[in-house]
Amino acid sequence: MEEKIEAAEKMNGGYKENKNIGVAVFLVLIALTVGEFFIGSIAVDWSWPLWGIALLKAALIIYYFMHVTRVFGMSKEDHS
Amino acid sequence: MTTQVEVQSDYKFKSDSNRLGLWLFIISDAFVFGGLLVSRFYLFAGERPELNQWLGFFVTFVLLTSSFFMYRAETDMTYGNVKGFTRNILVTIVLGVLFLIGVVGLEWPTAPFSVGENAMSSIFFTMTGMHALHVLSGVIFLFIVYRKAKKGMYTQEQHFPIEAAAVYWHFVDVVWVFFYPALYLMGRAV
Repeated sequence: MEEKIEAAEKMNGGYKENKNIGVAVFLVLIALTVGEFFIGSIAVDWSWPLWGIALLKAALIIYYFMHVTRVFGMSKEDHS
Repeated sequence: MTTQVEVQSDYKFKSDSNRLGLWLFIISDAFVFGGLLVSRFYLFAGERPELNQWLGFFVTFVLLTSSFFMYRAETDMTYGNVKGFTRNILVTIVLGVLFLIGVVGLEWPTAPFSVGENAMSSIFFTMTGMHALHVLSGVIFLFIVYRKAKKGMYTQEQHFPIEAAAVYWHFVDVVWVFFYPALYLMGRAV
């Protein structure tokens, strides 16, 4: 198990580092969701900030969780 | 005789092609949801249905959390931690089912209109229904991958189906990222 992780770390970077990225992105996504919930509650006509937040959340998911860079063969995490 | 390097290289070539196909499918599916989103704003630009705000926030939180666990599951498989993978994908499946219960089991019966009552109800049920169908198929997809992983069919080096399931699951999350404010937050509640 330890050997496997070690070998993969050489190829894909740190195991913990990748897990920490996931935690950080998740926390930002939750913070943005709380933000848009309050914006939606207090300002009925503020749709542009809500669009901005939605686009930012989508970009974070597509880049970090969906690993879009793998499509272009640019990701160091291309492990399939 | 085929060497190990050749097998790996062949698998990588197939995965690269499959990945391209997967993303083309994701993009084409995104157009369907984009069309629904445009219809919603064309029909009711400054209005939205009166829905349970806390339930909307809760199901959004559940889906985002499921995406987080899916990310962890995929990362675990990348590093050969199969135990961690099965644990995290199970949490993802449970959260996906919880999201379905929240939307179809709780939001639908308490919505201020019934199916086909007016244009707003039609667009609401079409948007949430279409999305719920994707969540359901995603849950089934994840379960298949989970079963195969338990049987030892994936390795640290060769697990493209897991990547495909993860990308599909995150895509369903991205769709909800736009549907949530469009249905619950934007416009005056009527």
